[in-house]
Amino acid sequence: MKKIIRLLLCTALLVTALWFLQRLLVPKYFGDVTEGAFTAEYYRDEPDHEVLFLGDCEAYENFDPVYLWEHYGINSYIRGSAQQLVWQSYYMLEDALRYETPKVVVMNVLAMKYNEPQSEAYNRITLEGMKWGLPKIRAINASMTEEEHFIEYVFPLLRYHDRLFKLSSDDLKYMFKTERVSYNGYYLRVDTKPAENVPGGKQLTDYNFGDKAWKYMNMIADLCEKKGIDLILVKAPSLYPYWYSEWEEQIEEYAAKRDLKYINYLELTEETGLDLTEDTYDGGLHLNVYGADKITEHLGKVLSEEYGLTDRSGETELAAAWDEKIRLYYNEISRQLEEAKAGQTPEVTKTPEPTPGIKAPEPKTGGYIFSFKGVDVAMDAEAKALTKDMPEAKSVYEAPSCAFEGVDRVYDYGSFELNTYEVSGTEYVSAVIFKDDLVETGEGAYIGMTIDEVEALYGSGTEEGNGRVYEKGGMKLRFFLKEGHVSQIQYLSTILE
Amino acid sequence: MYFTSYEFIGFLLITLILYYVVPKKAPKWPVLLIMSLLFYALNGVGALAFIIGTAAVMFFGALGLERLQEEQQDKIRENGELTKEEKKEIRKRYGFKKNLLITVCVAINVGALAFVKIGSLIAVLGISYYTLRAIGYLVDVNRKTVKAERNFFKFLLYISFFPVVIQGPLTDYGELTKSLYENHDLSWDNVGRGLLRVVWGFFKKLVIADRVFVAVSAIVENETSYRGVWVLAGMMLYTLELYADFTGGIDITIGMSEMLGIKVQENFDRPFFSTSLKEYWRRWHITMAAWFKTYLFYPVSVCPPMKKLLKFTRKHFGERVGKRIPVYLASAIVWFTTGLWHGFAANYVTWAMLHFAILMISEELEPAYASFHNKCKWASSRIYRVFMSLRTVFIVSLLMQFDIFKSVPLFFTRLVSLFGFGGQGLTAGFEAMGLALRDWIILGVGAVLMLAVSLLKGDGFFRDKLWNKPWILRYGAFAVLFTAILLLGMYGVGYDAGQFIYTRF
Repeated sequence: MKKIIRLLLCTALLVTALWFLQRLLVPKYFGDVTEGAFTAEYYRDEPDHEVLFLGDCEAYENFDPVYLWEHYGINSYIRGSAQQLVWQSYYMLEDALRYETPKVVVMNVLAMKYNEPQSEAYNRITLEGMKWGLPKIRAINASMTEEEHFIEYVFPLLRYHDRLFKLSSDDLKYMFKTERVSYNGYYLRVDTKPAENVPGGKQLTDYNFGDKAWKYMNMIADLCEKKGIDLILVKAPSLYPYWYSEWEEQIEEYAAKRDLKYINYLELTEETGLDLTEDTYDGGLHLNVYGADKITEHLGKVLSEEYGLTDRSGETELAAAWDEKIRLYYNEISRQLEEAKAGQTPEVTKTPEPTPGIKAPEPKTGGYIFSFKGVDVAMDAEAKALTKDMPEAKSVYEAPSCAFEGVDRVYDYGSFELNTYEVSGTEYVSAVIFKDDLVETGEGAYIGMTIDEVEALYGSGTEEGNGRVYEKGGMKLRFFLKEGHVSQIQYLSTILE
Repeated sequence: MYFTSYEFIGFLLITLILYYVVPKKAPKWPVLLIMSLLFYALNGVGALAFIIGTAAVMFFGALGLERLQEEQQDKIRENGELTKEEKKEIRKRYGFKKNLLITVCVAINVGALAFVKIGSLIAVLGISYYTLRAIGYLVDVNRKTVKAERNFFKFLLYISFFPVVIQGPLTDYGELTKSLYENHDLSWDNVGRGLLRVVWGFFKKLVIADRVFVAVSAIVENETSYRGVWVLAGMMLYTLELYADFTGGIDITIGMSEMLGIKVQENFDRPFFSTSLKEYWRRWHITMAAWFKTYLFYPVSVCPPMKKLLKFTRKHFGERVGKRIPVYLASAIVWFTTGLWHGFAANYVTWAMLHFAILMISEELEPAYASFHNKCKWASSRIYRVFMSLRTVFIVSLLMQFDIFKSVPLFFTRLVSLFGFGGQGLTAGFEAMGLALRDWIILGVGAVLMLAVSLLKGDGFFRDKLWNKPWILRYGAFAVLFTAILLLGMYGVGYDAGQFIYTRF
């Protein structure tokens, strides 16, 4: 008996020590990549919202609950998170319904383009903060990438053990302490970086949204219907990632079929007065507060006029809570303005320290190679080594990812685009996309050729949607066809697939 | 399902619970059989047919053998008045039948092994191991050192017992079944001691082996820039990796068997302390070397053609030389087979034949060594012994290069380059290996720990000694190892989960 008690005591001691270690090692998301703390912050707010927003960064960076309260007296919350996938939105909603039933749910539709789990890092950011319950368990199971394990969500120490050597003072500071990182889920930015040279979308082989995305979209619509919640679909006015007309048609058709309101803010710039030369802080991906307020003003009108949401600013308790948030909100605006005046831009991209085991990609020199002015461009080759020998690009578009993991860049050379991605701070080639017939592939193919001419050069290849794909040496060369002629040529890295 | 996967840890827990909740009166071994088959099926259902096939062939083969043995006995005993010649005739007749039966059974199994290894059409985990264990059983029954098992399911458990099925040790039937089938009650001693051994194994594998693996891969992938003295670094690192990986895997195997109350043979006895290659093969992968000795070397040595050869060589080359030729021939056959067992490839066969050559030369030089040791007193000093051990480690490490480069020409290129200059600078070379300074420190500490345990008489012995120390020490050792694995182990997202090296063979 004595032995058993001793064993139990020791085990309890070990478990406690490990629990402390775990608290120390998990990322804190305060001060750095604050988006990671959004999911958990929801539970701190009184669950009494009329409006819930769902979606990815297009939700939490483009709609402003503070504005909605100040001008319409509407109490709203954004349950958004970086690259929130449709099934994650569904489970976020299911989870929120354990605490409250809003009158309206506003769902941003960009994530419909994803039909598969995307990234472990974003899964973590979205899911870790959820309170344990069936929705969280199901959300994890629906979201895990191949490399992930459920148990690593239960015991995050297993996931973050290698942060031992990357600890910062923040890890100690926030071991047991939290801090406000959003304004009812809104990510506030006041700086400006005009949208210039935003690249158009490259052609896709398949524009249809996937089954899994539709399944969960339907589940969201059904759940809202069952609970008597009005569902509004929105597309934020972000210019990048590109929103294809084929996607727009599918959403419009769906909204009509299910009798839902759908607002595409890309088409409402006149009504909202949005000006992306000043209303965005990162060149058209996300809006700054001035832009967000223009969009929110429009949405607020819709909510109050069409959905009959009333002004609650007379409710003393609620108003008092908001007063405090508003005070912090304006403090933050002045702080950021001062920072901007001092010439500092708030840091947008954070490059995580390379994880051991994750290696730099191998350049696919054995694949098809595009040659430009004597420079051979292999997929996954280090981009800087190539671009330094090439003429200067006409423009470079930088697209920081929602929370971290570096920046994707598009170099425009007129006749073609060179796309790059980052691993541990180094740029690698992800694609070359031909835009006109002034450039040729290494084998002599160009835009405008007939399919027979392509096949004479490359063989029959694999048919894929409206084109042909040729795989070689770990990369892909893709031809798009329109009426039997090549309409676009893409060299593609397979790493990001 | 790797031993180091979360799934396996869960699997082991479930097995332990099921094993110990079965009431004392009921037999517990069926739990082990079910879990072993489940474990095996989880690694590929197709492979299940192979292992059950092997078990069936050997099970019925052994029963048949025993029946022939009995018949032979009866024939001789029934007829008390048989002449010597008649008895010999009966023995000869039955001897032929028995040999035929054994040959057929072994041929089927070796055929299946060759089919899997050469054809590579289907991955059958552990087939190299259980085939040998099955053959060993049949030969033991023939030699009457064990009785044939009458219960097929029990025998199937012997073949498929999950801790040993994929990477050994090559436990022999007589040893393992001493504790495999009987019921074991839950005892904190068994579970605790076993667990301590298991965490030590995990530490070796996840903290040390999988960490060195990063550096070794870098060297293998960029072998042209790691020339000159880097070859030596590569040798040392791979030796460290293989030691930590293989002995770690065996620690886990032995430890988890102990947790179930079952005793599995040790497979290592501090091999790098060996002063000669011959000694090394008595201390490294002990069960494999023993298997080849017992079930291949001896039978080959005494088979009729060998006896004829001995007669011939004695006559023509004199007693001293004539006696050796058949022994060396048998030895060459054994090494050649050992090479093939590791893989049907030139690199493994060359690896084995070089071992054979070195062993033969040392054997020939034995008298010279003896007189040298007699004359030079300092040759029996401790320092000289250390030198001899280092010499052995060097030879072994060098030959291990066949395993990582998998190419005979490349091996010799590396060997030549070892004595040349070139390769990249120190800092650049270390940087390109992909490990940070802290990783080297962890490896250093890990290597020192393994050395210390070896100096304290080895993994099993040291663990037992530790177990008899005050409880706070053993619990402390467990807690430290456990925490070190959790924090410093190379596992989880971003790491290549590594299967144990010896499961490849």
